[in-house]
Amino acid sequence: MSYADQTRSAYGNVIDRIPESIRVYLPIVPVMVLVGVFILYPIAQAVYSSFFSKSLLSPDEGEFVGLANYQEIWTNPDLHQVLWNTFVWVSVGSIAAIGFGFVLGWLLYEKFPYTSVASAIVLIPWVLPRVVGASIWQFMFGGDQGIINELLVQLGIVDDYIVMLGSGELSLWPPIIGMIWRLAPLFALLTLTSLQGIDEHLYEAARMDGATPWERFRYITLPMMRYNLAIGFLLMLIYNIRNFSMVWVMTEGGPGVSSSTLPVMIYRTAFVDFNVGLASALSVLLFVVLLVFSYYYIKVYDKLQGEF
Amino acid sequence: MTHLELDGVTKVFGDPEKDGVVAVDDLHIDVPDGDFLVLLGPSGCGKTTTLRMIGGLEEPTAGEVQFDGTVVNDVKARNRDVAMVFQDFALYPHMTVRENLGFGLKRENNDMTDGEIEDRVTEVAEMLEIEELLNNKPGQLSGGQQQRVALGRAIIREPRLFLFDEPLANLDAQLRKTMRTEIDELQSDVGITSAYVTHNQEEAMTIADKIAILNHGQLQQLGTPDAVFNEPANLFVAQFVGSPNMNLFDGTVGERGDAYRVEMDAASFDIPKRLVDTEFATTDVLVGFRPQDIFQGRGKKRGASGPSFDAEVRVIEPVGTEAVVHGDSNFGDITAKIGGFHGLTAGDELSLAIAPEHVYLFDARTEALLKGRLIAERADTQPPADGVEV
Ligand SMILES: Nc1ncnc2c1ncn2[C@@H]1O[C@H](COP(=O)(O)OP(=O)(O)O)[C@@H](O)[C@H]1O
Ligand SMILES: [Mg+2]
Repeated sequence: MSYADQTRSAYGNVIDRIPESIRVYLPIVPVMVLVGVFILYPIAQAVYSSFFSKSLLSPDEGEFVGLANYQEIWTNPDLHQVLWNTFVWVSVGSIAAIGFGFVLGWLLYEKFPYTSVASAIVLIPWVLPRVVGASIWQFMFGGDQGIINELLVQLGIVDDYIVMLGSGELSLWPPIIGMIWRLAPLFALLTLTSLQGIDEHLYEAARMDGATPWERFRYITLPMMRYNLAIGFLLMLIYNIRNFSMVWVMTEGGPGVSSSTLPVMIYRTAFVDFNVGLASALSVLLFVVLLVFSYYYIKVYDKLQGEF
Repeated sequence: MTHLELDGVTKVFGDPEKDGVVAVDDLHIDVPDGDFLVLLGPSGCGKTTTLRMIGGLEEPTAGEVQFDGTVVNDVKARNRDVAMVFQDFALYPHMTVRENLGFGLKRENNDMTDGEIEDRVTEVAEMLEIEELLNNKPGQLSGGQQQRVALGRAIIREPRLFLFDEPLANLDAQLRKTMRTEIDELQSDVGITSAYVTHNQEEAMTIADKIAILNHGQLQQLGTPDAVFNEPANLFVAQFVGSPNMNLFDGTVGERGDAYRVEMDAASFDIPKRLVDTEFATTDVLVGFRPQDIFQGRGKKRGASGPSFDAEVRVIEPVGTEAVVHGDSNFGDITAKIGGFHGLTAGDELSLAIAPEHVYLFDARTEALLKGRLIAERADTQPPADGVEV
């Protein structure tokens, strides 16, 4: 008697009575429950809350306000500043992380003798606890004792120490630099593994076909890496737009909203201003953007799987 | 069209002073214009390394690679105008067949227009009968089709040299034979000097103009398929070439009138002196004969006086109309190839003999050849097994 038969006779009475078309879904019920409770419910809750004017101090006394919270995003200049910051943060941070990461990955692949040791070292910024990494940068950019100011003075770029974290004009940039430092290693590792995935023989075939080093890079390396690079690009976008710790530790989003990005603003709106409704509307906005990124991420990932 | 010459080419991987691996050791090979050279030898003997040095993918530690008398050691692979077919084909997986074929033509120093390149791609695709596949990616092709694309990529540029590194090793037996013939015909048609690496002696014998047999990075013999079969330079070559393997037994040799007397444990026979070119500097020899040179019947009846012996059939392996017979004889284990319809079964008693012309003798100590297998014109009688059989 097979195992299947045994279980059937033990549970058969109950389960056999359920129609086949429903029975096949039974095994995924536990997972669906988890997804429902921990993922779908909070999202639904956020969407629901975004239609109310609600204070964190009295969360049960919300007043239905329709789309007023979204209108607020549309009209409030501070929030415009936040959206612009987010855009600058995500685009500059991602592109720079990709640029540095790619070069670093290439160097790891080509130049470093002990690749695995070297990549472990390179990966430190990525594996360091986020608050620790952010604190280091906060310390380095900080006003009086910051090493960066000292460096700028030594190099003759500025005459005297300048206020960076506390300046409305400059405060966005130090956290971006910290974030590039955190993300570039991840992209470097991605570059390294996809370079390692390219068959050496292809380069030799290309050499025999007369291709110069640049042509080998352009026509073999880059196309062979394109889906990996696309995935890396989307990962950079996702990590950047979700980042909270780097900004919060270094500037708390200030002064004013000068260095606030969406996640920081959501936090401030909900837990400093206690405006749950507006925070929920901002969350929904962030959620939609992330959904778009994720959609492309999955699409590219599928392509990568089906490619070779 | 290129005359290829390897002049003392040596390759040491790692530190020559310490634990370096001598992959290729002082190789001298001359390949006349348009010739088909096969590098043959067991795995790890340095064939691929030799080929890669010719192509410029590996730099010789010593010695010179010459094309038409010009040393090319310092010429980069991409400037040597040499095409190579790799064992795993190494097609560009992200490009279509069309792009794979055209890639080698899209060089800056090539003044072909896009239209001309397209025409040439079509021409080569037709030649190899892969025109239906031009828009496919390599991943969608069978092994044989990929092989054709790899060949196409090599011939499309009409290079100075073709290099093949075990190009048939990844194909099944049937396809291997077809492709072997095709490569042979293709090379004769275009007449481009070629170097072809294989560890398969049968493949080498059918396709080569000249075979270079390597062992431990050293050249054992450079010669035509006939020469390496009939007059192997040494025991290694004799055992590596020909299938099934040569039968080998200990013996001693002495003079008796106008013949050499060969004494073996269980038999003795004479070899007329005029069949032997070399002076014997030794009395200890290895006596060899090929399974296909063994014939049934008493030697004397056939007018030959080589070794003859009785054997009891142990195993029969039919090969088409022939059979490879493994038997126990008073010499020990023996392998013979019997033609025709033999009707043999295990346990049968056979009388076997070998013509003295077909007996190989090797110096037992140096393993150098003393006497090779003589072909018909120098032999006493028409040998029963004719010519080279592999
Ligand atoms: N890149 C390399 N580094 C170190 N040793 C190598 C390298 N390539 C080949 N060898 C060694 O050189 C010898 C000859 O190798 P190869 O030319 O590939 O042999 P074959 O093609 O006849 O099988 C082998 O012992 C092999 O291990
Ligand atoms: Mg090899």
